[in-house]
Amino acid sequence: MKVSVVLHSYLRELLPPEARGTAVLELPDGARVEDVVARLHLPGHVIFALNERLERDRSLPLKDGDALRFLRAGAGG
Amino acid sequence: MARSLSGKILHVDLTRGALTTEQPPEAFYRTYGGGSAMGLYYLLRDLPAKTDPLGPQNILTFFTGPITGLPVSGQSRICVNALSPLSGGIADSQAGGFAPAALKFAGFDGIVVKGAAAKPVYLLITEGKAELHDAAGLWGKDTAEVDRLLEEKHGKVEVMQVGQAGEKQVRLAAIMNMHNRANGRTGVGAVMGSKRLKAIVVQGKLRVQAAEPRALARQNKEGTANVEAIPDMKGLALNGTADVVPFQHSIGSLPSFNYNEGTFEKYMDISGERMRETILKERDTCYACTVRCKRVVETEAQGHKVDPTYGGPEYETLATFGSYCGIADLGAIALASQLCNLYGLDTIGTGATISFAMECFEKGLITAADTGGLELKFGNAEAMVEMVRQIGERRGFGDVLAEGSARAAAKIGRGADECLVTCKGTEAPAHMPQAKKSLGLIYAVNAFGADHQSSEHDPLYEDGVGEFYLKRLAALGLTTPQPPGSMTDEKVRYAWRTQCFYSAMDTYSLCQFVFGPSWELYGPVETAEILAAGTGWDVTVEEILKVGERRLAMMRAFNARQGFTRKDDTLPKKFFKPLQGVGPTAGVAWKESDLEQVKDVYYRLAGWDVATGNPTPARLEELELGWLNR
Repeated sequence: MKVSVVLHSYLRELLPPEARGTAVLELPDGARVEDVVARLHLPGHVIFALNERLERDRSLPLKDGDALRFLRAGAGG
Repeated sequence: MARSLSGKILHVDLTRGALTTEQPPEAFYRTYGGGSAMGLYYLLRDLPAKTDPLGPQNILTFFTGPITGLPVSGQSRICVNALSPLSGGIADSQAGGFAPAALKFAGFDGIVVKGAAAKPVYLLITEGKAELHDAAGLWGKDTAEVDRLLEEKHGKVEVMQVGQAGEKQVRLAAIMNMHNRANGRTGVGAVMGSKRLKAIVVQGKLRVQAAEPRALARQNKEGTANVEAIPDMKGLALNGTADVVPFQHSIGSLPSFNYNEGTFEKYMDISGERMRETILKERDTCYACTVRCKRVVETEAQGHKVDPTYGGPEYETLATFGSYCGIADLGAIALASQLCNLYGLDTIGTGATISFAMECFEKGLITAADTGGLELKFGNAEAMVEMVRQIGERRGFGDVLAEGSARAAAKIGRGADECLVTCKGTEAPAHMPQAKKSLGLIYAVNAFGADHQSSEHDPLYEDGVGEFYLKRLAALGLTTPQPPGSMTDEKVRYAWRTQCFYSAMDTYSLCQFVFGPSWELYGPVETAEILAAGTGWDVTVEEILKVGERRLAMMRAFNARQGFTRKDDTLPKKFFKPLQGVGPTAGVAWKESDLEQVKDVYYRLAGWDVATGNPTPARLEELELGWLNR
């Protein structure tokens, strides 16, 4: 299955500059959010939105066409 | 006297043209800390209650802190206080840059300005000597041009000035330094303009010294490492304050369409990431700061150059001129930011006032006949930019909005007050109490109106927050994170304790991105160590909290004299109605009864009278403020 991923803030540096923080990952059936975290070497403290809904449980299963965004918990401004 | 202090305060009587120097004892500095509390001391001592904020009786104070000018990040800050022409209560506003440190190098810790000049003047301070100069040649000029003319005449200087907006006593006027840093909030620029004090110009190379230079250098080195090590600092350095845009959208805390919605479909167009990809020219910094969070942008918009000399938009500016107004045009927002810096306007108050007018226009409360033909609708970037010009020049409908949205609503009538997003007459910043509940309490009770930099925000004390943050918050006795979106008694305690800490930062005149309770470059323990290394005082976290609490009590005591009571601690009417739009805060509303309940808890924690919301005489005595009872 294919899952689209957007990385925000400094997390974008984990992808090549030309990707502009976006990637489409090919994942095996049964993959979970934590598998994406591991694949992209994301740090432990990031938060994420699955299909534009903030979630906390990284064991959530993914399905084809899902959209993930990873963010830092924002403060300041 | 701590060698990090100048030990001198300059008193300026503009009516008489008299300049005198006060040399207070060190105990005065230790008790009041500097910054806001020191300004409040003079306001509470010398300002009669209920004077005209724009009359000569008002007092305008500028105070640095006890480590301003030392070689460590986040120390070059200055706080301005006065009676606010927006709220009728205390005015309080901080700015960074190089001017705060330069004031110390020029020989003074602070300035107290009274009276009003008969004609425009500027104050020149050079290594302990102060003079008033004729400012006729500077009046009416753009802020960058004023800086250029002053450098041409005096050589290298740092300048704190009012622009044309302050000259015209626009109630949203700021005091600018470097023509891109602002003491923006609460109308302090209008007060300075009313005194016909065009600028304060400082220069000098007098030394301020740390009590323990090696300890300070060690902390400075650790701070530099923290920029990479702490995720929030890394994001702040990379994308500026605008780094938070995607997060704000994601939690439903990005005010859109005049605070009627909490998400903005085109949020990425106004994000720090997009700014970095497109119009960012470079990063800028304040004196001796390693973070470099300031943005410098260059582009063209609406046929005008956006000049790097005016810096670049902060998160608040991107939100107020962007999502508040339904505008996703980054160039137009950068142009509006530039105009604010050029005229000397608060970007939060100005953008929020324009978005208020846009909602009035959409609802037919004002029409093109009122606005001189401008279609002041959400999404109209040209109209938004033109309205900034009109406010800065007090021209056309801008003259109505120059009074701030609360007074504009009263003038418009016809229920326009339903469109207001103000607390104590001051426009709310771009963090939504529907998502950040404890911030809603702080918006209501804060003495100078809704402020996003007066306490730590909710997400840092909610379930799932990282151990790093909790370890730091534990230093304030905060060890029990709460459910997301909740408003519990423990959240009230979190708001109060972190408000005391933030208050101390505004008192010691320290940057709240560098020194803070959780995500900042330095936590509470390091903050105490740095203050101790700088001053030689045995500062503890508890002393910091007490200094912060003392300043909060002083602000409340000031407002009490102005007639403020518990009933003034409230939220805009629209916060009690369900939010529109989509996302996690759609449909969310505050209940008035809930607000009153958490206010009870808050006042009790503070030791204030629950009936009036004001500090009790006993509490003032405990805070060494007994002189306010007499």
